[in-house]
Amino acid sequence: MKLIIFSARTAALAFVLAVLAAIPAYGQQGKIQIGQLDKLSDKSIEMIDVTVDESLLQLAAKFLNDKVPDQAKVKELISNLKGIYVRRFVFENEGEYSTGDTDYIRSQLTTPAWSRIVGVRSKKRDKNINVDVFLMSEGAIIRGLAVIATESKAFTVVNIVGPIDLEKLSQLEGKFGIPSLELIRTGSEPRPEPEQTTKPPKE
Amino acid sequence: MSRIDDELRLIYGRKEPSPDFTGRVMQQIAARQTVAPQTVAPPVSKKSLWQTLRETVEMPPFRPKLRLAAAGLAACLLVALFAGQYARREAPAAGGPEVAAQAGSPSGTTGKADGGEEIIPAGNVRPAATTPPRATARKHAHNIARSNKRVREEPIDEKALAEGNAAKEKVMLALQIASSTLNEAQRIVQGDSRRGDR
Repeated sequence: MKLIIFSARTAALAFVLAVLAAIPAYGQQGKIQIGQLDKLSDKSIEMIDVTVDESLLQLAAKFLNDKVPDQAKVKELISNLKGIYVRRFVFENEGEYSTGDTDYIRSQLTTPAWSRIVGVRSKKRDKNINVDVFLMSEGAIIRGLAVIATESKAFTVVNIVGPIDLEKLSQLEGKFGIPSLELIRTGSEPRPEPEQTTKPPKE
Repeated sequence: MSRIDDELRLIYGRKEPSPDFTGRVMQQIAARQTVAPQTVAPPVSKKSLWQTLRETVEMPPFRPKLRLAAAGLAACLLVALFAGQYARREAPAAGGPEVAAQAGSPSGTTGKADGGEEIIPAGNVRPAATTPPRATARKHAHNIARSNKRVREEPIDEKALAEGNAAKEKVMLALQIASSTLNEAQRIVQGDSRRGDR
């Protein structure tokens, strides 16, 4: 009798603890840890670091004009997002970042919750370009998007947390006066990149 | 022989009891009856609720069912508790942008408005149960329009404006980068497929 009571109490306590532990973890669904990449800023000649959490997204949404079509699209796109996290590093020479840096990111995306929907490998103009797109979804609802783009001299990680419309996202390129980024050039001349935390070139 | 006979007669001979014999016997009987009820009948004690419950649970027919019922009830309570917490967390996040969009928008009531303020129809009409009477509808719309005008005329804090614009720029840059990365992957895929078709 005492043994039964003890085991029932233990099971109930374990259940409660498991549920309580799951609560904070629930809010982080779809988010990957990319803070480890900040150590690459010392080696890079250019770094873009964008961290937009839910409160900042809501603040930005208030300042987006509904009457301007592009801004209205952005407002609609970010209305249910929980966060947008971007890291982009550009290096002067090839080989200045290792696969170990990217493997740390990829290891978080090997869980069953994430599925790789696009994997692209290209060697154009002697640039090894790899782009992997990962999606976390629960049924028809997208919980998160992760994009890893590696080149010989650049490395980009994008993590969007929350339900995102990929079609609407792809339509935003080249808008708002921000030039598109130089990832792959198929023939045209490179366009200037936005100045964000640009470091002076190493002497 | 005669002596034995005599002794036997003496022993088995009827003897009359003493006159107070009956009284003494009755007295003893009465004394025993007054003492016996106090010692024989046990005191009636009141069972506490906990004892009653415990005895009920320990009864063989009810034991497994009650335990299952108790476990199910505990599980339902936990699920209800966390569902409430989840609903409370999601409600402000879902309503944030919509609340911002509707801030300052007048409800869909009839009546004139001051300063040519446009009354937003349909989408923001209140349910019938909360619609003010017609006599006060004009006054209500007038007050709302006046408060909207007052809000617009207040100067926006410069710091908040700067923060908001900075947030907007950050968001657009982040989305721009994400969009570019996805589109480049798409171009590679399309380029490869065209080469394959040739």
